[in-house]
Amino acid sequence: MQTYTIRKDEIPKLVEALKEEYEVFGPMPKRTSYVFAPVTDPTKMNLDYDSTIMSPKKYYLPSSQTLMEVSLKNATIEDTVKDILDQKPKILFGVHSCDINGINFLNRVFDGKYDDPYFQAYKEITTVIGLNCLEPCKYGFCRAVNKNFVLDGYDLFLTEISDTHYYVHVGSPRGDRILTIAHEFFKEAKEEDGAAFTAALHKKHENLPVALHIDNIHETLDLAWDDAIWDELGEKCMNCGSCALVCPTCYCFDVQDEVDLSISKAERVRKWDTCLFYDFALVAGNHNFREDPPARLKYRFYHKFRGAIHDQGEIACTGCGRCIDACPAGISIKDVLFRLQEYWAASPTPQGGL
Amino acid sequence: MQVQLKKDNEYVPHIAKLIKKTQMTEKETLFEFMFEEPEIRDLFTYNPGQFVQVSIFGIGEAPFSISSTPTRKGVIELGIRKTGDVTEAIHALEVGARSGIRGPYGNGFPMNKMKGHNLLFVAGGIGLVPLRSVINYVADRRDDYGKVTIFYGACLPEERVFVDEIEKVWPNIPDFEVHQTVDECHTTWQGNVGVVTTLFSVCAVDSANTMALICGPPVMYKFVVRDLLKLGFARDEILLSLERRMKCGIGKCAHCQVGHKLTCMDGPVFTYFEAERLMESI
Repeated sequence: MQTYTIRKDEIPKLVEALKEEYEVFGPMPKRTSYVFAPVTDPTKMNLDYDSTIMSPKKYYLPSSQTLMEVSLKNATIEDTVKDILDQKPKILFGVHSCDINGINFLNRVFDGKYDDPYFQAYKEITTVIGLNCLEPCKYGFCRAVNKNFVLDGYDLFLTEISDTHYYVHVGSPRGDRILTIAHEFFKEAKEEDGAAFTAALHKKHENLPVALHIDNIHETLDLAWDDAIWDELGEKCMNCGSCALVCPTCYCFDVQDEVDLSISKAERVRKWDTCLFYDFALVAGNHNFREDPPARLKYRFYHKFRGAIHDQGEIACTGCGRCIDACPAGISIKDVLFRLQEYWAASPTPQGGL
Repeated sequence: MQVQLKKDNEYVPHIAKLIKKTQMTEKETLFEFMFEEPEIRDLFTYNPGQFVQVSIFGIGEAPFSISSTPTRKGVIELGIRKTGDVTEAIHALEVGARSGIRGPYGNGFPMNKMKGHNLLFVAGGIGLVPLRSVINYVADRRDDYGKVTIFYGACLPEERVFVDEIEKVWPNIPDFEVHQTVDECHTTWQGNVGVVTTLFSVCAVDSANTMALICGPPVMYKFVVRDLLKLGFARDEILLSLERRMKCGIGKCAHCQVGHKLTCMDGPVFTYFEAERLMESI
């Protein structure tokens, strides 16, 4: 398989060249942090970014999205899938492994028996240029959840191999297309580049800490169902939903009809929702299946680390750490996992072994 | 074999016309809908226990169990309680009004597996809505199923739904037995008073070769299940139709998650064996 290298200082020129055919989004500075935003000035895009406030899930599942327009007079319906497909193709530049894994997870949810044509349309128009993290970020714990690498879900993937160069893997024909239209920026990798790539991988594994082990998380959660930790955290939690909004794998949504001022047409809109909100499991007749705040917080953890293994075959956490930064109550998902690890270690074991 | 209506966009409903409204109680009305397109009318079929998503454009969409039986083709009957924005709008529809319906979704009851078995139905309030689909299906395919016993409980006599069928139709079907109860005593009520489980002492239930189908308010399940287990029902002979909040109906929005399963995809019908393993299910 052919691999390539690209000079770091040529990235702005590459972005400029790609803008003709694509709308390019990347990590752009915003106050004290970074956000994925249109790369208006390619020299401002910073691939050394730590993390972004929101994950790139917004490019596949927008926070608010019109699913269809309905004429109220004659009940004719037009869906908006074609509008997505008609958009200028997008490039997401510099997406970390955790976030690519997040997109892969969402793809499992929005595929299946009934595929979601909106998500699939966004996937169709979006090219992902991934970026290997060789240094830990402030809150992340990707290696503990095995999300510090990607197997697929990228079109190109960059790994820093020196102060001046990235190593480039091609993951799809869409990635190949970028090499075709911007071939002048990519050089075929030499043997010493391959050796530098191997060294970079070793550096990554040395740098990313793994004090947290979640290999038996499902069993631990089964044992901890009635533990006091859920009430304790539930009392601290403000049910604001910030954790779910910044989460790259939280996908819950609400659907609402919105009528325009002329009362002649309505839009059916889906919006991000979260299981932490009071009315998430509220049904007709005012029965609430998760009325108390601790029940909702507990549900979120059980869905992420237990339910998702059943549904999607893997946990719904990429270890990106955004929710730790976002939580106004100071609840850290990493700390909760550490406490569950301690809970497991402290649980009684038979004398003399099995 | 059930023919699936394959659509490019599962979120977009088909247009259906309201063709009849029959008020059943102060809050519950039976609505009969018919798809406008003849092709969809022909292809649309379902399993008793499945549900559809009904759209009132401009107001919203909500899930409803189908109350008619697929053995009687043509219309979809939905028994709906007036309780929120969408249901109030449905109640306000006039005959001839156009709304949207998509589905059917969910698994429904295992009608093939139930063949040859005696069936015990335990319904509370509007829990009879999905069970009525099974009951009439069994009535239409009488030879395929054994003895049928129906326990129906409501809070007040005037809150009972499908009273004509309960009192006049079902008792006259061979090997059908119907018992009713109300929670509160009422001057005009001559029958049993007490919650639905009190009917177990009114009518002896034999668990041999019998499957029990339960649907009612959330509080009802654990008491009915407790009595059924005492009577010797196996955990997989007890079938529960669960209710949860739903938005998409197709396994995406996660509102109806119960334990590690989705009510809209894996349910709404679960055996008690399954439900027992789902956190917070009953």
